Amino acid sequence: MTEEKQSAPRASEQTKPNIELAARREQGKLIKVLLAGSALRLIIMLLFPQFVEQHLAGRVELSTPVTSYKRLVEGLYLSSHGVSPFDGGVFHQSPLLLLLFKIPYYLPEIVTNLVFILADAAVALVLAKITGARHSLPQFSQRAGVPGEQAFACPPSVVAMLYLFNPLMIGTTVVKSTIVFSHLAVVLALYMGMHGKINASVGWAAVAAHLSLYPAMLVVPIALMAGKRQMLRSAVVQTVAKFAVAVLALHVAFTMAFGKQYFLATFDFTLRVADLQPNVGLFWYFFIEIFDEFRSFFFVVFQLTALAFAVPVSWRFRREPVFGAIMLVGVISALKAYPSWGDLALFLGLLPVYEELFKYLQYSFLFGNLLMYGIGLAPVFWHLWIEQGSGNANFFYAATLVYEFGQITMLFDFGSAMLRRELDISEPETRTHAVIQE
Amino acid sequence: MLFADRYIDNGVTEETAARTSVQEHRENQKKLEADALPFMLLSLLAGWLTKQTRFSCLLAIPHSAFSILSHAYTIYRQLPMGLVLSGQGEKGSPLLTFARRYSQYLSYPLLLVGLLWLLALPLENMARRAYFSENAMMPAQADTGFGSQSDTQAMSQIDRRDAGTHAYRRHSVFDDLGLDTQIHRFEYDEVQGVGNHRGINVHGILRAPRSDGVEALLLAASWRTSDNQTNLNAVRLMAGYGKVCTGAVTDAGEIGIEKWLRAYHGKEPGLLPMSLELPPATKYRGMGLYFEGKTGQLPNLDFINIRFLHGQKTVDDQSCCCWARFRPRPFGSSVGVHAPFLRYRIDALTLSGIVDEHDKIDESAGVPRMPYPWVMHNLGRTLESTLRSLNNLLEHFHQSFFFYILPANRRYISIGDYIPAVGLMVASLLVQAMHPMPAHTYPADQHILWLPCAHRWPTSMATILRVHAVGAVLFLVPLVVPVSMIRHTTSTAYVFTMALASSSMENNTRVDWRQLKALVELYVAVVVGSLSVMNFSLALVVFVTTGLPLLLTRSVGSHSKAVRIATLLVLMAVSPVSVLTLARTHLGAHSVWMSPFRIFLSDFHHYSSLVYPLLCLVYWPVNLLCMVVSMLP
Repeated sequence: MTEEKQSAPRASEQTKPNIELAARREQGKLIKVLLAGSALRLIIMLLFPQFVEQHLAGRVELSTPVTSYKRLVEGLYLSSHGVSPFDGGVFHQSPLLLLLFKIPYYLPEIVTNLVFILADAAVALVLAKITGARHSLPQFSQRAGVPGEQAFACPPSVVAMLYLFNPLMIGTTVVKSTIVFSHLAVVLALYMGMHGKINASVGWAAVAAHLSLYPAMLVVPIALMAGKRQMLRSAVVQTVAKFAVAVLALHVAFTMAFGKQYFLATFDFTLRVADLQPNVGLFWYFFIEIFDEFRSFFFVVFQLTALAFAVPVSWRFRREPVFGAIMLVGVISALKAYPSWGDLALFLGLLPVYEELFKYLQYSFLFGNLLMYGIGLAPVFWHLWIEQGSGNANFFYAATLVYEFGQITMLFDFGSAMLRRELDISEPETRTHAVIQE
Repeated sequence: MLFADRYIDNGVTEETAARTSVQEHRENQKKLEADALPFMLLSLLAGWLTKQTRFSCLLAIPHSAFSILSHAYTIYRQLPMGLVLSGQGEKGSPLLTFARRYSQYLSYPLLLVGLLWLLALPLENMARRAYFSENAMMPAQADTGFGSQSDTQAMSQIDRRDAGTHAYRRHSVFDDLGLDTQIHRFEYDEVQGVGNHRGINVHGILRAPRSDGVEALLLAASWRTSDNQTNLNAVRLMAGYGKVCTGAVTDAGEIGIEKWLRAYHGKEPGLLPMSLELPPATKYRGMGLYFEGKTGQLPNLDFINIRFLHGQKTVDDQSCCCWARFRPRPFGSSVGVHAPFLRYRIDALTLSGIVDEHDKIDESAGVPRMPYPWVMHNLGRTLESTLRSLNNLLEHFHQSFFFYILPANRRYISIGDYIPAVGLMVASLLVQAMHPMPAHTYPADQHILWLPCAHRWPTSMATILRVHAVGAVLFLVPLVVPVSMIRHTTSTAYVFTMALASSSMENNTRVDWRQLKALVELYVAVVVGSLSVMNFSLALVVFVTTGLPLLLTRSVGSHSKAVRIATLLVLMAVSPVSVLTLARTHLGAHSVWMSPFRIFLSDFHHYSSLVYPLLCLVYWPVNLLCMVVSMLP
C-alpha cells in the first residue's frame, strides 16, 4: 500500500471511464487481499499445526469457554452419538454452530479449516462493502464535511486488509475460535441495516445475539437506521418487536430440540459467568474473589454495566447509527463476560470505516501503547503464573487491566473525536479552537 | 505545546481565563504547601530535641495529610481528562506538557539515570538482608550423621578409570546400598545429523518408610562439569550419600538430565533437586551457587537462603558476585544440571566447588586422588543438613521471592528495587517516540496528531513489516531446512544482512525518519518492558544491543559521504553478526565450527530459550531499521 493509493483524488472529479477503471482496480485489489489473507491462514494451519496446537490453541487470550473449538468438537461428538451436546457441561455454544458443522465434522479436517477461513474472509469482504457503502450510498456520501478537510479516504481493500492481517485476528482464526461466526453475523447486520434492509439486518442481529449474546445491543442502532425512513417511534417499536420474534423463534426451536438444558448451558452460562477460567476481561478475577452470597448481585451489576450502554451510546450518535453500532462493538469487546483478543480485532477492523476521525484522536499514543503492553504482557504473565509458577493471578490480571484501560481510552477517544467532528461540521468557524467541556 | 501555541494566537478569551484561574490555583497551592512545610519541620525538630517522638508525630501527621490532600485536590482540578490522558490545550497535566515539550532532551537524562541505577545495584545499600519466609523448614534443627565407615567405603568404590563403565559401577553401588535403582539410556538427535547426544543416566531411589510418596528430594550429578572436567568427586560424594533421597547420575550434562526428566516426570513424585559439581581437586576454596534457569527463571529465594545458612563456612563471597551472575543468565547457555528442572516448576540449584589454581589436579596425569577426608566430610555434612531441612518442608516453596538478584552472601535485591532501571530505559524510548515533529508539515487547517505526517504511516509500517518479514525468514529457515543452514549460520547471516540492507534502503525516500524511528522505538519498548519481568538480564541485553543504538540513531542522509559511511560502519559494528562473532567464546562457542547461532538454536529446541527468536525477530530487524533511519534524508 503506497501513498498514491491513499491520497488519490476523489472519484467525483474524474471522468466516467476513469471511475470505472478505478472501481475495477479497487475490486482487483480487494480480491487479492482476500486471497492473500485466506492463503496466509491456510498456510499456518497446514504447515504449522503442531505450533498452533502447542502454543496457540490453549491460549486463554484467543479462545474462551464459549468460543473454544475443542469444546465445539466435544458437542459435535456427543450429538453425533445421539447424546445431548450439552451433557457433560463442556459445550456452551449455540446449536446453530452444531448445524453448521454437522457435515464438515465427518469430512477431513481441512474442510473445517476452510469453513473458518471463509467466514473470516467473508467478514473482511463485508467490512469492505460497508466502507464502499459509506462512500457511495447517497445518505452517507452527500453529508456535509468540514471545510478545507483533505479527502483521504481509506479504500475498501485497505479496510479489508487491516482486518485480515491483524495478528489478533489471524490468531483467532487459526485456533478456530467460533467468535468468527458471531463477527460475520454482526457485520452482516450492519451492512443490511445501512442498505435499509431492516428485516435481514434484524435477522442477522438475532443470529449474532444467539451466537454470543451481547450483539443483542445492536438492535438499538439498527432501529435508529430504520428510523431514517419512517416515523422514529414506530420504527423502533417495529424493529425491537421483530428482533424479539426472531430471537424467540430461535429459542423455541432449540428448546424443543434440546430441552431446558440448552438455555442453561448457553445464555445462562454467559449471564451468570459460571466459568471462571481466566481471560482478558474483568469478570473472572472479581468473581473468584467474591463471596458466594453476593455473586448474583454482582453478576447483575457487571452485566448491566455492559448492556446499559446500548441506548445512551446509540442515542448520542443517532445521526450516525453505524458509528453508534461500532462503539457498541467496542463496548462489548471491553465489557463482555468472556472476551478475547478476537473481539478487539473486530472493533479495530470496523474503525477504519470512519477513517476521517483518525486525525481528531488525542490519545492515540496512550491507547496504542496501552493496548500493545496489554497484549504483550498477557502471555508473559501467563507464563510466569501458570508455567513457571513464580507469578500469581495478580500478574495476569494486571495485564488485563492495562488492556481494558487501553480499550476504554480508545473508545472514549473515538467517541469524542466523533462529537468534535460533528461540532466542526455544524459550526465550521470554531474548527481551529480548542473546546473544553467543563 | 504546539497545539496550545496556535490557540494562543487566536486569542480566545475563555482560554486565557481558564489559564489564569489555573495559575491562581497553583499559587494558592504553593502558599498552602509553604504554610505546611515549616510547621512540619518545626514540629519534627521540636520532637527530636525533646525526644518526644510521639508529640512530633501528632503535629506532623495532620499537616502532612493536609498538604497531601490539597495537592491531590489540585491534581483533581487539573484533571478534566486525567493526569496522563490530557492532550488538548492549556488545561493538560503539567507533567505531560513538560514531557512533550522537552521530550527530545528528556530521553537522554532518563537513559542516564537508568544506567546509573543499574550500576548502583551492587552497592551495599540497595540490597536487603536475606531472611526466611518458610518457617516449616526449621533450618536450625537439622541433625547430621554423615561420615560413617560405610559412607567412605562406598565413596572409594568410584574412581576416574570408570569413565566408560561408570554407569554400571554406579548402578551396583546404588544396588549395594539397597536403593531402588535403574539405568536409563537415551539418544537424541538435536537437529538431524548434526548434534547427536547419547548417554546413560542412572538413578537410585530411597523409599521413605512413612512418606505419602508424592514428593522427593533429588541429588543429581553429571559425569562432566559444565566446563568439561570430570565431576568425579561429586559422583563419589553421591555414592556415600545416595542414602537420603533419589540420586541420579547423568552422562551428558544438561541434555542428559533433560531427557531423564522427560522420562521420569509424571510417573514419579514431585522433586526438589540439588545438583553437585566438584571438579577434581584436593580441597575447595569455597562453594559457588548456580541457580538460573534457561529462561531466566529462578528458584524460590528461601531455597537459596537455606544454602547460605548451612553452608556458611564454605560459601565464598566472590562466587556470588553480582555481575558474574548476569553473564550466563540472559543467554542461558551452559548453566548447569539444575536448569532443566526449573522448566517443570521444580526449584533447583547447583552447588559447585571452587578450586584454587595450585590445588587443581591435572586430569591427564591420571592420578585418581580423593580430596582430603575433612573436605569431603564438610561437604557431606553441609549437604545433609540442607537436605534434612528440605525434608521438613510441608508444601511447595511459595512464600519468598521468585524475582531477585543476589549481590552478596545473605543479601538480595528484590524486583521492586531493580526493575526501575529497565523502567527508566523503556521510558527514555517512549519519551523520545512521543516527541512531536515540527508543525510546518501540516496544512494549517488540520488538527494536530501525534505523528504529524499521518498519511505516511502506512509506508513506515510497510518498511518495518518488510524488514521483519526477512527476519522471520531467517528465523524459520533453520527450522524448516536444518542441515544446510546450521553449519554456516554466521556466514549465511552476513549474506542476509547485506541483501537485506540493500533491499530495504531503496524505495524508502517517502518515509519520515523520525516517524519510522518512533514506531520502532515503541515496539522495542514493548519488547524490553515485557521481557524485564520474565528475564531481567535478557531485557538488559536486548536494550543495550537494540534500544541503545536506536535511541542514538539520527538521520545523516543529508550529511557528507564520510559521515554516512562512518554511521553505517558503527551500526554494523553493533549488528548481531559482529557482536556474535566478537563475543563467541563468551557465549560458549569454544570450537571453531560452533557458532553462537547454533548454540541459541539448539537452546531454542531444547529449552524453548527466547534468545534465538529475539535475535531473528527483534535485534536483527531493528539493527537494519537503524541503518534505514540513518540513511533517510
